Amino acid sequence: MDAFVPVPPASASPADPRTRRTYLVFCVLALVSWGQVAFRQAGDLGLSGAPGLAAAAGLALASRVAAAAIEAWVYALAWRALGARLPVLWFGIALVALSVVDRLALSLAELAHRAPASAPWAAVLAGPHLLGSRWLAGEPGLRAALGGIGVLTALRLGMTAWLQAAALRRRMRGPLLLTLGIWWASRVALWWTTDLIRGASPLP
Amino acid sequence: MTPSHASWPRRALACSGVALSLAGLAALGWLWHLDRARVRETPRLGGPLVLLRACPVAPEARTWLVAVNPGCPHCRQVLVRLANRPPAGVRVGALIVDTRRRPSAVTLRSLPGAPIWWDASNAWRRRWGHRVYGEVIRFDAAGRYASTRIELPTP
Repeated sequence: MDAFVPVPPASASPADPRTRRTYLVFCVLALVSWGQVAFRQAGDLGLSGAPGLAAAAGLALASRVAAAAIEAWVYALAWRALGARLPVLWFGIALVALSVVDRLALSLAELAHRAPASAPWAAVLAGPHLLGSRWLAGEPGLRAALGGIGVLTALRLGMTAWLQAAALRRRMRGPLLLTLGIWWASRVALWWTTDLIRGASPLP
Repeated sequence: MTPSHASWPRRALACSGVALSLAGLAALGWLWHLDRARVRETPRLGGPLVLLRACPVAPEARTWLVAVNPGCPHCRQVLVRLANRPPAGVRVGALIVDTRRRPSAVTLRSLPGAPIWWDASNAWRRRWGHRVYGEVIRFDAAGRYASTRIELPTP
């Protein structure tokens, strides 16, 4: 496969000012979109008043940025161990920008909740957890970990690998293998953690 | 010093970080395996639970107990919602969990529904292996365990 996928052009590297501007624009768009979600969820939780809503939304946005920073740091650490240097700041900004894919998956989940007839095709894109709690009913931890696998997950993983390939000026195989490995480890960790938290209790 | 020599300590540090992460994942898997292999008892009414509020005798009624920690507003909301509109043939009460001291009269007055049991010996967590507040433990009319469900505070 690698022979057919060229090294991303130099203009796609975060060393290029235009690429940096693109990352920043999409990063701001993603944050605005997540901010809207955070405001709505804070309202659903019964928080009222501008200070409370702003604090809840700020906290949600900060946790989103922190998650991207941790993800970027994990990739940077893995690449450093392999002898390459990933620009962690710009990769982190690109990951925040890439979270628009997760935002799209969230919108599809909301759509499937409002209009159950749309759930089957939404599940193809955003994962079988949209088909309801009967999927992997006896294994809620596994459902939490793998329920979101769909076309959007593949897109997110492919883009994450491509961003690394562009930043490191490499072919796709190495970044793709590393991305799949880290993603799989994170899913397994989520599965085990969820099971340890719930014990014999069920989950919604 | 060549660049490769200069970056060697950082690379060794990164390798250590990766190895630590993998060790952490393996430790998590070991904990998970131990927890899965634990033998858990089936929930049941009666001892060692302590009955704090009984309910009128209704032989055909099933019993649903909401696992409530008095300090948890979410599980109290679940109890209030179910106790105010119990399904037909069901009496909705509470199982007070993770509470070392006997709940006060004020706490009891704040909890609707009956029966109210107090898990004085932490059987819910230690022997039954349950861990999520607000879950609804269902017993049949004979008091035998039927199932456990998660209910949301709002339908």
